[in-house]
Amino acid sequence: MVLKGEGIAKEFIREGRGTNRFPAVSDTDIELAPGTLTVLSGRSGSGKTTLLNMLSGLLPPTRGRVLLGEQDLYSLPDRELSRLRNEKIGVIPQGQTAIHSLTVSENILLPCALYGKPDKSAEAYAAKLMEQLDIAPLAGVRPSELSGGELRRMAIARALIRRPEIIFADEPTGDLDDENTAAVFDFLRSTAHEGAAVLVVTHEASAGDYADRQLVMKAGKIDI
Amino acid sequence: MKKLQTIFGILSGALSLVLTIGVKTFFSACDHMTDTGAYMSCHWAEQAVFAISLVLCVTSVAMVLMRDPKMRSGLAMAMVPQAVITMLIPNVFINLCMKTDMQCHSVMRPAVMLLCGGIAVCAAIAAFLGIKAKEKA
Amino acid sequence: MLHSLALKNLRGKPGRTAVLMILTALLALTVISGTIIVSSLRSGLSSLEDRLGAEIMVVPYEATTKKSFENILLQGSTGYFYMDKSVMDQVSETEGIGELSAQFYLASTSSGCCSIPVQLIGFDPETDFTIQPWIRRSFNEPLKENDIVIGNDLNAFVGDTLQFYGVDCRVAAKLEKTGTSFDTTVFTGFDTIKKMTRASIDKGLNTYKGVDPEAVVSCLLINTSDERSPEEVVNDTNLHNKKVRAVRTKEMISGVSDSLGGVSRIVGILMAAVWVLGGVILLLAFTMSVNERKKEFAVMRVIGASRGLLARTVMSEALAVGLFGSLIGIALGLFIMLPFAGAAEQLLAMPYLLPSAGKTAALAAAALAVSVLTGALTAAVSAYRISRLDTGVILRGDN
Repeated sequence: MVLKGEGIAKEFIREGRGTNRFPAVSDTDIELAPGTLTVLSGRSGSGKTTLLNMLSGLLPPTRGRVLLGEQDLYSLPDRELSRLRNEKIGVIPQGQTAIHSLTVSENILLPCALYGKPDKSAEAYAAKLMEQLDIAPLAGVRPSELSGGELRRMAIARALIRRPEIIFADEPTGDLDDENTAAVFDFLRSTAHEGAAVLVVTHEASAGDYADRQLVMKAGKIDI
Repeated sequence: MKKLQTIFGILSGALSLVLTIGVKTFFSACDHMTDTGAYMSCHWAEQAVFAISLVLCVTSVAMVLMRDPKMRSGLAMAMVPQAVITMLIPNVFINLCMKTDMQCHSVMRPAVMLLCGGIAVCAAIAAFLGIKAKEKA
Repeated sequence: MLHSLALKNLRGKPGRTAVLMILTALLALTVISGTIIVSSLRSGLSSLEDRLGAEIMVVPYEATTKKSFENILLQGSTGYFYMDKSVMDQVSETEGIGELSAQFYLASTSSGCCSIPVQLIGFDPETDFTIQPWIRRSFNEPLKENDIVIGNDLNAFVGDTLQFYGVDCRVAAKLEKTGTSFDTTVFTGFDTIKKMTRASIDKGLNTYKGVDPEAVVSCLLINTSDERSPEEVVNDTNLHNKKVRAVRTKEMISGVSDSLGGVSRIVGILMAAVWVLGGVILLLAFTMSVNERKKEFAVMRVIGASRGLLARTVMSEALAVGLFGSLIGIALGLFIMLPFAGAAEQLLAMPYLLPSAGKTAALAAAALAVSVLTGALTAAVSAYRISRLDTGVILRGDN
């Protein structure tokens, strides 16, 4: 399924003297097609994460529409949109994003548990993902005992567990060493090969080697 | 498992200690009569409870210090009937005062019953834990 | 799964969970103890009114000045006093008297082992209208000679033989609990009590040395007829009979009901204070616990949890803590309040009658509801805030 942003823009209201609106993202068109890995780079503050949040259904745009296939995401009520995001969209957020009271494998299976019970096939898939991401021995461990790279790989497995059609990764290699960085990009690349539309927001220069398409953001606009 | 058994052992020991001290202080039986100075029968119930509670204290200390879970279970098991019998001393084995609104009825008896109930339950759990540990090994 | 997530969150932070549970337990403990105290005092008072059973009591004048009369009826002390039987005839001529019956008081001595002085009240089976209706609830036969009926707080059983001044008496019945001083009183017919009194005088154990039991009574109980108010009858009686004094029972127990109101108010204020304090602390605790995990909730949003789902997770945590804590608190409250009711009665020195099992269960259920609801309400604030969470802002916050 194709994800399309049509003229989406986001303006934040800055607090301070008077209200001044500042545009984080100006009217932007973007399309993410199945099987392609798109890399989005740009300086910090250029609006990359805001764009990603709008596209992934987490942040309603000030103007414009986000379409998944024919469906306008933000016309859906929160419950249905959440459900849709749960099933079709996988997000690897910035930073450390573990639920600390759950073990690694419970964290990974959590998306399957939100609207039902994880079944055998989900558990098998989780095991396979952990194997591929090299965190299988950590399945029963709590996140507090994991390193940054391991946590990131756990977040990747969690984003993929529902076999989403669209995958967003926000600085997935931000605090990783070169070896881990390569592993993560390899993995995202192979996921795109399998048919998912992948958007990676990154500073990483080496990301270009894995991309089908490279976009650069500058002051809220995509600079092609 | 063993740690849990120790915890319940300590708990029953602590309750026994509270019983030993309490029955002579906070929840003692009625004072001797002001006019004649004679003790009423509830005083002897207090003495009996005090004596058995000392035994309960010693047993629980021995239980906690013991290493062998089988031995511990044995001692804990012995504490259960001891506690139950102590519970029955006031007014069943030894009569308390005539009016049930007096201290021996309104304070000593319920306190002794609650504490002994607690000791019996803790000791029973400790005994049970020891038996289970043995089966596992 | 969501419930297990909530439970795992609780288990993940045992310290925080314990504090929250102790708080709700304390809340429930206060509510259940407070309501049991207030309700016991209320039923104690109404049972006292019932047991006095007469609108007016007439006693010798010196019994009212020394307060011995009130102390016997309200405080559970023992004593006796006598007035000439002829008073009864005089009083009976007063206009507006509906029912009239005499009672005869005596106190046992503490002679011998284990017998504390006990109040003995003799009634006239022919005219009595206050004690027999009550006895009939536990024993529906006329009392034979040397039969006694004992209050619930006396440590003897039906069929036992008790000795008073050498007179062997059979316990014919044990009355139901009233929470008043009548629980330690022994009741018997005129014949038996006069026999005891005679024996006490013969043994030199009675302070009224020269009294003839046949010629005296201790007090008169009066219910007015419809024609005149108790007020008027009391005034009339006091005017015509200088050696005796008529009192309205309502006035006598007004002191009790005043102090009952005072205690109820204090308990109420205490409960409200604990409730407000507990509520505020719970509110802060839930807010902190949720704020601390803002990012975790944002992550749940990211993986597709709806706003409602987040709110429900927070609420499940709060309900689990609230329910568990409240149950502990209520169990603790019942374990303290029920066995130690006697001690509470002594401490408050007021009529104190525990509510029935059914009512106690209802009070416990109400206390459970109040404390769980308080926990839920305070958590609802956090749940609402977490459901309005701005996911994008929180996730970018740490970079």
